[in-house]
Amino acid sequence: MWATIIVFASVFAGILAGMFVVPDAIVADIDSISTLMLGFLLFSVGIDIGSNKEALSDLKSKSKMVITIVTSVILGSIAGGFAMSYLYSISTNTSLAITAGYGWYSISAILLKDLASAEVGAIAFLTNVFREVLAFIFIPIMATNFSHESSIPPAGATAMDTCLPLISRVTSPDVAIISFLSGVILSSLVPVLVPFFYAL
Amino acid sequence: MWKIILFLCSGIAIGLFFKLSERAKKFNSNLQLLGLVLLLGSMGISIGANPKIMSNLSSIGVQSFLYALFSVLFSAIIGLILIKLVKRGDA
Repeated sequence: MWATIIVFASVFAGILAGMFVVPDAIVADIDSISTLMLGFLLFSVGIDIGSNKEALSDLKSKSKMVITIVTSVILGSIAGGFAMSYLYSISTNTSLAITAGYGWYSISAILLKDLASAEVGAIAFLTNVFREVLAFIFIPIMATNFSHESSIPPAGATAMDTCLPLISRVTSPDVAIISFLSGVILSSLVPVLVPFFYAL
Repeated sequence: MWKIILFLCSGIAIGLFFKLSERAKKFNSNLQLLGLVLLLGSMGISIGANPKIMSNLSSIGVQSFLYALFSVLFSAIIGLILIKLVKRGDA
């Protein structure tokens, strides 16, 4: 919850600063600063993934379910992208790139801001923030009414961080490990698949 | 694009090959939070300084929500089907 508050506070403060405080000359430099910041952030996230040895070594025994869940999220997001492309007559490549954020709003938004435009970046940001919020609603419903594992796909990439405590709470430690691993894989796929779909 | 993968992979390599102390991990996690705040803040500045986005926010909001809803819903439905199939195959 506090993470969500921090996220909204940061963005909201930034928006207000951009509207009223920051001069246009500095706004131009903000883009290169944020790209650099993204690099360091990914480096730091990489350290997190690499130093979690138990999770990574469990990959073999849990791999079947992990791959199933990752496939579901990728296919589900493609379906969502196609549906939106049809509804809003947005080009399919942009639409698929937006839904390939899998809930990781910071990365997909920055990537699409650089690749496409500030507006597409903003849609990607809002989409993936909403996705995380919706995941919080979906996870307990899926775990209670269907199988424990079925609570993971709605979380997408956030299955490894923000949604993991909730998934772990409503399921079992076994499923929490699967959740973490599918989140790790989906998160690693975001910086690859967003530019891939956009280039289609 | 490749710079991004390089950053991520070099981080993973360091995490894999160097045994980090709990303090270092905690520091890394705090640094990540700070980085995220600055990143999101700078993104907010780009959005706030862009009059095209600000005037379109109401339409972007609905569109973004639908993007999220469709993606989550389809992921859940396909997940239900595929997980059931895999479990049936194992049984």
